[in-house]
Amino acid sequence: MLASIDLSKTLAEPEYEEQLLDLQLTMRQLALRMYAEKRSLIVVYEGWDAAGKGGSIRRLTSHIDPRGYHIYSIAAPQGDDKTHHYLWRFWRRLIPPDEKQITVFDRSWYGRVLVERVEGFATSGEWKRAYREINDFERQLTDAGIMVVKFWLHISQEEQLARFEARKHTPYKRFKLTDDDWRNREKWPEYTRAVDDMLLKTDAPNAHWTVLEANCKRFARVKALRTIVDTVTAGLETELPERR
Amino acid sequence: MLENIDLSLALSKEEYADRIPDLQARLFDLQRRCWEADLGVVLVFEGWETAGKGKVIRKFTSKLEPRAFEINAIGGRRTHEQPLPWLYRFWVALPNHGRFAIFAKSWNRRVLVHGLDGSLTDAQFQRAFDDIKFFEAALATDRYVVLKFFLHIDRDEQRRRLEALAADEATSWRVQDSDWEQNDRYEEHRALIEELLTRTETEWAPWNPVAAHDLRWARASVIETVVERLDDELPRFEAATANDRES
Repeated sequence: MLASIDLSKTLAEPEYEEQLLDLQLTMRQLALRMYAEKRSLIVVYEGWDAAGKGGSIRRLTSHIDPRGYHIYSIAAPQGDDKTHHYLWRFWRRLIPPDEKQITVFDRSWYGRVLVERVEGFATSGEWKRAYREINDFERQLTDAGIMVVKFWLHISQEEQLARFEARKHTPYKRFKLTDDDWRNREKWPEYTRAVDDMLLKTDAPNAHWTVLEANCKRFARVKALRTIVDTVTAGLETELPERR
Repeated sequence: MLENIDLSLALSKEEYADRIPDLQARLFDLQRRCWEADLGVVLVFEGWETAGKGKVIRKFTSKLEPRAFEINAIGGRRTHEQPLPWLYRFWVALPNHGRFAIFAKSWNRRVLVHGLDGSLTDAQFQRAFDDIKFFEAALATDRYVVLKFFLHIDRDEQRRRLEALAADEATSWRVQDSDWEQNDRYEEHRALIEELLTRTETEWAPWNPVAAHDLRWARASVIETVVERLDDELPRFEAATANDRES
């Protein structure tokens, strides 16, 4: 699946500025409506290291009331998260819409079928049954009327190398580059297989995957925002299920 | 499932006094082994009103290490839980691996309570069975043992108990309208219970129906079931934990 993604898509600066602002203002209105109507949105960001998740998230949130969203950064589990079922960590991080309407997961439960699979932190039985567990989890979310958007930020291996090098040579970006990034990079084919399986097995009508062509950051950011705007616009049109 | 239960099963005082200390000692030992093996134990208690869930749980826990278990009695969704999936309140109450958690009311009430009051749509009601099975499967495949008990009494016994409770000033507060209602519509409730037990009976989380006319019998048989199941399951988790610690 990743092989068929056209990474040559770009967006020029002037169009980017215009479209981005337009989408951000729309998003601001939608966020207000979500607040008023007590609706929830969960946005999942997955992607290659240095693909631009952080920058994309920043463009999503920059014009919305900060009281209305929460961003979780998901790394290796610690403490109680480590001594429970892996999904418990995410169940307990769900936030009702009275408190926060938008919950962003910068990496997510998909770690089970990506890093944990590739690095051998999960047994093959564990990551194989995770697809079904995840589908079931997301179905329960959308059954409860929560909107779910999932992104895979895709870049080429060459682009990643260029970004790593840039990080290495830019003082204020250097902290972002870790040994893990180089380690994961060595396993590009294994990760590609894991991503393909994930996209195939966990794409559902209620919780659809959107692959962002992210060699051009501008293109990816605008496409991400547009996807969210479209999903929320449609979601607000549908009536909430009865809450029982 | 309920029709196969012999409600005349009973233990004499002597037999009970003979067996309980031994069972409790074994349970205490197993609790420690679960702790060491990082094996979580999820215990679900359901049953007819007045069947004796509270009394069974009290006996079950009386000799356990109190720092390593918790008791949950989770009712309907509270306000802030309303917009979240219905299983949310049970997920967040799950014990850490290595601990026991008792659910004195459980997710099965989704079916048992709402199956008759008409508050679920048919689709929601039907989906509840899958939700329950998937939830228990997730636990059972991830270092949890799931033990489910249903305490069974017949209609006459329930009525006798309700009348006795209602007649005594000290206990009358315990009897609620819904308890009488359950007795009045016993057969409807029974059909619903049968449906629940049948449709959520799985290899990974089987039901244990318990004859509960005799409290001594109910207590001993619940503890014995837990002891046997843990005795059976623990070795493979202990082996795995030992391997982990070596590597």
